[in-house]
Amino acid sequence: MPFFRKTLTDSELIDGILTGGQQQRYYENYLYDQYLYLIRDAVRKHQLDDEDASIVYSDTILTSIENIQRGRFEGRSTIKTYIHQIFSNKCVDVIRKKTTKHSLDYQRVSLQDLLMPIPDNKRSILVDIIKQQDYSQLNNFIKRLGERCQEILKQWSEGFTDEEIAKEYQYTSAGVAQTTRLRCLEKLREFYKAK
Amino acid sequence: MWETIDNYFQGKLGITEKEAFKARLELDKNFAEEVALYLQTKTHLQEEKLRQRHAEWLPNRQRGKKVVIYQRVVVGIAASLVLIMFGWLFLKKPELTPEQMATEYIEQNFDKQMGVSMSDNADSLAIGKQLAIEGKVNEALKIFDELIKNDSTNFQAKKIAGIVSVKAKYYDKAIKYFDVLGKQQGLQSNAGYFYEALVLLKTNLPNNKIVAKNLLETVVKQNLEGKPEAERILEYW
Repeated sequence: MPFFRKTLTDSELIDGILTGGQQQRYYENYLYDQYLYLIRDAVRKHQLDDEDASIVYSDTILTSIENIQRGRFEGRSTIKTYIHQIFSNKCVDVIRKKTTKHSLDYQRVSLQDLLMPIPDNKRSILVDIIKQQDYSQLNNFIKRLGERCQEILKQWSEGFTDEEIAKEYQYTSAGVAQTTRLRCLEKLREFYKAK
Repeated sequence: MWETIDNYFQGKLGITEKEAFKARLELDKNFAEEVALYLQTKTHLQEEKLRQRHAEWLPNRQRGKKVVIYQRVVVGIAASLVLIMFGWLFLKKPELTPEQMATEYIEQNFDKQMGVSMSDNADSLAIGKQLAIEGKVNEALKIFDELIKNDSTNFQAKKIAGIVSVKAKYYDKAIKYFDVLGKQQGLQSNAGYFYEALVLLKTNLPNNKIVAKNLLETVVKQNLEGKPEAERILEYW
């Protein structure tokens, strides 16, 4: 956070984030620098510890960036209001999770959220498997995938559609993007089996 | 299998296929493991991205903290300076000009002189003062002039005549009376030059101011009556 820096308007910031490349990083970092005081506010108002507040803030900025990139930020409010709202919601989530002791570490997306599409009576099957499986190797396995696979899976995890992935990597159709992505998941599965 | 899993979570399956998916979760362990991996991979990648960006941003936060400290220090210093300046402006004594000081002295001290009577010609002097108090300035001055004419050493008549002239705003006359008084030798206490300087300052003319300064310096140098006040006025010059 330089002492004196030109203040960017919301539209300049959005354009910058959509630019791509190194320029995009500049705007993302600018966005991060703008509302750092929220961390102090969370420590003071919500009694979060500094580390939690800090990662909630990073998550807020990351979510905002992703939403801007995907056109989910519709500009109905200022970016400042938007970020304040997301941050506040995430703080409340953390407080709730800490109170109910669901999780001690901050999680961007909880497994419970991902299991939402599964009926209640079937969720325990997946929860049990996840608890039994050793996923500590997952990161290493992902790194063993090719660069393209890693990129595609990352984009998928961030919510990019197959159409968007196809456009990004110049695949002929969304179906090709989906097939490529699922092959990557299959490779991961093979790594696990071979373990 | 992966396509079925993916389509399920993307909401692309029909009712029958969905039911088959749910049933298979219970019956096919291999399938359930793939679903678990699918979800775990997605979660893991999202978490990983957050960890990476968080690690990248942390130095920004440290820099931000330093800048906030610098900003607070700068704001603190600036606020202190503003406070000091305001304090100084409000608390400092109003700075008087020599002219204002002269006027102030005249207003506070000249009236007191009108009640004192010490001369040999006390009766005439008292009558002159009474006339002046009643506003008959010209008649009073005639009496004082007569007294001075009869006795050129009558310093009291000169002094009161000067004071009465000042009160009547006959500044030229007052200057003359005080000048004559100032030049009078052999007096134990002579306020002539000091009073003359005060009247010159009160008239506030450029040349008068220079003469007034010389007179005040003479008062100080010769240790004449009004020396402390003359010194104070010279300090504010």
